[in-house]
Amino acid sequence: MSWRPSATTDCYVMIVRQDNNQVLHHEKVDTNTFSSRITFAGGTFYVSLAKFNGDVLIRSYTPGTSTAFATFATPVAGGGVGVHDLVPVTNGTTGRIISAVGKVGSTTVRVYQSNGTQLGSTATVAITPIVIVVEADQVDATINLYTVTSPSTGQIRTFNFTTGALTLGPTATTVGVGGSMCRLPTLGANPQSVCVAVNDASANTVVQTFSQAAHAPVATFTLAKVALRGRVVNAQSGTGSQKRAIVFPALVAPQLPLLTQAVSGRSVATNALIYASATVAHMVTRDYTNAVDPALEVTQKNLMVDTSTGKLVWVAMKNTNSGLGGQNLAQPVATMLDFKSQARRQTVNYGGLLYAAGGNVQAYDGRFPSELYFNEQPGIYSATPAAGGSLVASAQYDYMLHWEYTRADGSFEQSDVSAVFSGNTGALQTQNTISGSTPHTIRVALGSTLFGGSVVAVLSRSVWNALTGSKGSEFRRCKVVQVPVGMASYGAPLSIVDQLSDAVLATQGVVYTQGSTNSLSGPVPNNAPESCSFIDADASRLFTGGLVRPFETQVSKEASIEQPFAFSEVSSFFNQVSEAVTGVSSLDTAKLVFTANYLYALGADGPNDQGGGKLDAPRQIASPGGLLDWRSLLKVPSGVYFQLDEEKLYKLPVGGEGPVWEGVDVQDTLLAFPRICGAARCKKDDAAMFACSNVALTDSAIVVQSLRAGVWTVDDPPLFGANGIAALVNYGDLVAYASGGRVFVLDATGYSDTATDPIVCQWKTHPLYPFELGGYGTMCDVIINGEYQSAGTLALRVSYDDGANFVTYDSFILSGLAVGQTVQRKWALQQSDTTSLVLEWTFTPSAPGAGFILPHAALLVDSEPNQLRELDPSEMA
Amino acid sequence: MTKRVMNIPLVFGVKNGVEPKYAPSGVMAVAKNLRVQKDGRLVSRTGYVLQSMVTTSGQLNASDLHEYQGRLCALGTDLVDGFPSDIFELTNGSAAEVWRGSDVGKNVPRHCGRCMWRWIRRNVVAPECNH
Repeated sequence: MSWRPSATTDCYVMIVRQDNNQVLHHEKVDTNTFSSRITFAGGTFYVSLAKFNGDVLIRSYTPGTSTAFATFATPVAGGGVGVHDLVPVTNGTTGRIISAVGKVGSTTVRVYQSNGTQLGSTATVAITPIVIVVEADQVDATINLYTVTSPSTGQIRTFNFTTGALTLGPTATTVGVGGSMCRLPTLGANPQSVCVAVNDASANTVVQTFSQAAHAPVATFTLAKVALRGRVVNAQSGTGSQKRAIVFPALVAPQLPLLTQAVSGRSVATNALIYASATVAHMVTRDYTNAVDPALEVTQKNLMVDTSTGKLVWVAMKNTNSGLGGQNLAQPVATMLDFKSQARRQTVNYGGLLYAAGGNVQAYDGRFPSELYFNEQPGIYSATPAAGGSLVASAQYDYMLHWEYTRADGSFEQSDVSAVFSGNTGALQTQNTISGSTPHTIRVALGSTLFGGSVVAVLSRSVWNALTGSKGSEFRRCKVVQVPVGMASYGAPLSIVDQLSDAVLATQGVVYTQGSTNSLSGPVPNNAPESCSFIDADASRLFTGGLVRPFETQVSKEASIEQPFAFSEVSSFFNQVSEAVTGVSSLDTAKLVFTANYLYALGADGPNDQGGGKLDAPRQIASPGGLLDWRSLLKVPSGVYFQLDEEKLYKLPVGGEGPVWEGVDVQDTLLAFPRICGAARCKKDDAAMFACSNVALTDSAIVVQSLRAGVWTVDDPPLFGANGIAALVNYGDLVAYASGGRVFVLDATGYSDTATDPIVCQWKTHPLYPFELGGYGTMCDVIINGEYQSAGTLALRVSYDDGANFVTYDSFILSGLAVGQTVQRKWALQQSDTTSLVLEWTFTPSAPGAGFILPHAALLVDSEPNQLRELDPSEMA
Repeated sequence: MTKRVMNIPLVFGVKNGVEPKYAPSGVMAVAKNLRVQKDGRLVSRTGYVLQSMVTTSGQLNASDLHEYQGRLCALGTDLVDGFPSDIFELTNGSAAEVWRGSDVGKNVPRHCGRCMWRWIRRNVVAPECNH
């Protein structure tokens, strides 16, 4: 991240390690700077610096090699202060980074190699941009340049990668005050295209797509009341124009383009990351109503894909102290997100809904997954009085707005409420037309036609007492209007006409924050839960961990009839522990919070819906370690399993005792397959099951513990190709797992894998020492007593050196016997003079079937009493 | 020489937590594809059956699984790019719609943020900035 403090013209760069947030390098890279851009390519960080003396220079730093940023190139020297951009070259074979610099009357674009020398020729165009965005693809041999010149002329141009010659454009884009651009590469039947997102003057973002080959318009759509703030990133998902999608950082606020509360000046904007295509849009947020006032932000915030990890780096501006009085101090924050992630997400079933962590919490009602509640605050833009209704003329009215959503299962959600907005009437004015905001939710983007649920806007109003000439303090529901659906309505302002008389209004319900569920005081407003990575539910609440601040956890309000779990931003609903949270679970009445090294319990029930009360301080449970991966968490009647490290599977038992190393008996398997990717309880087998994969995720085993007997066995499950198990879950009384994108389900009765392959069972003993460790004797025969279930081959291998080498004995083919018939087979041991042996039986069914039950074997031995084994002379002294 | 029979009860399952040389007779180093029956005997497990992955518009590529009210749900996609875009339920219904997405008819990515963006909660905060 590069930045310039508000009080100086010095430019700083800070480099942090992705996995633990450790600062690797911090440096003042230059002085007298106006702005900076930073990027990462080929293992090196590059920062472009626009200086007040007109220079635009690039410095570089390679972690592990460099001690300080060194001058890499100087694209432009002297002249006036300009705008600039710096990004990696896509598919760069010899080109490393590309720089664009806009000065008065001259904009230049240059490609640089890894050694700092320019590649090819400079692309030049005689314009003076106020916004400049560049990108290039060396394989496609094209450079795309997007510029906005004053006054608000947007253009794209395409240049030859090598010669710098203009090959297409300038092509006009939507007029806006700012914008960004990215390339959408060829994907399936989708030809390559250029996507431009433009901020218009009304704080809408207009997205235009043009063909790369001819700049021919492909699609245009508008996201209402979404203020673009940064770079656009390709997020195509498939063929067809509806799947041309982008991701970009933005601000949403109750009254865009106004981002501060009119009275207090407090910022009410929320940083959002928007996914948008022509037919769907949704967003993930951070810093609920705590984004900085854009009046204080000067430069473009950044959004980049780290191609080495696939993660999205999102830099946003947070208002550091808005919650303490609205100081509006800007603070850049970088958030890492898995982009196009295939990683698992923790979910929990409760009250008929499936709640999922990962970004904003989602709820699935069996028809449709969508955000839980609303992660932005409603707002009222204007109130326009007129004649025609039943309001009192020349009266004082106040309004509030909130949204509601009814899910397919009948549960409904109520959003936060807007700030109070005055809507006084004048002479002869008896109605008010309220213009309010609508939510940026996929529920609006996709609409209700397929799913039966719909978002409504609820307008509430105070009652005017004409006799006393005073307005009431209660807000009652005066008008409910369905929010129009479809992309054209996504975030679009909504007009609501209020004509309701005060007499009728007095009979209507009070807005829920003013006591609809409590006679003493109203509940705190409902907010969406903060974006999180982990989620669970106990008897009365949902709770989450892995928030934007990774040390914090959040609990919901108490469960409420007919409503999904609601959350609040009030601090009493939050708690924190000593380290970043790695998972959450619950046991008995305690909420469990895991970190990498510790285990905590939250005991008390938590705050009430009015925000009073609080959670107990986290109580540390004595444990040899914390949680390695949430995917190992499994609740069973006797406790909660969790993977402590790569070879240790622990269980926290019910009853308040400390965790025990339950998986010690399968630690050899866990060493070979240390990644537990899923855990499930199989009711059919009354067993706990853990899917374990090797480090390369190319192979897997399932370790199984009988919940009744505590006995461990290991499954050798079928996999799809060389793909380990990615997920394992309960499925009714059975279990199911995914491997290589395919799904396998445990058969209730059948004995074949993948429908055709018989299941090979194996029993292998530890080394048996019939004569104690130092004793000596002869081993004669081994006999088994088993039970026939289906035809197959029973094979035996024997090791006389503790398992280092095996001798294969003759096999027995079993067939034609009655099911359940006792079977005895005996082998005469070939090397009788020994001290130990390992026995390994394998039964391979000739066709799918229950095979063979082997509960017992017996060894006939002839011991030499009171004698130690004879050794070679060299082994004796 | 004294002949005797050493019994080896093969019902204790895998035990890696004991030194093999001191392990009780019958505990196993490997017990593969076995389940504990109600009488304590170890019997063959049942099979794992590969499911058809057919959706209305292609083949489901499942990245994650969850159970919802006894139903099997997959986070995945049947689009070209491999990242999950919808939630699909195993219907075991029509062969042409073994997995049914919530996205019937529109076939657009709509997996609201959770599969597109998995929050990894890294929060890097830099000092004062107005730039």
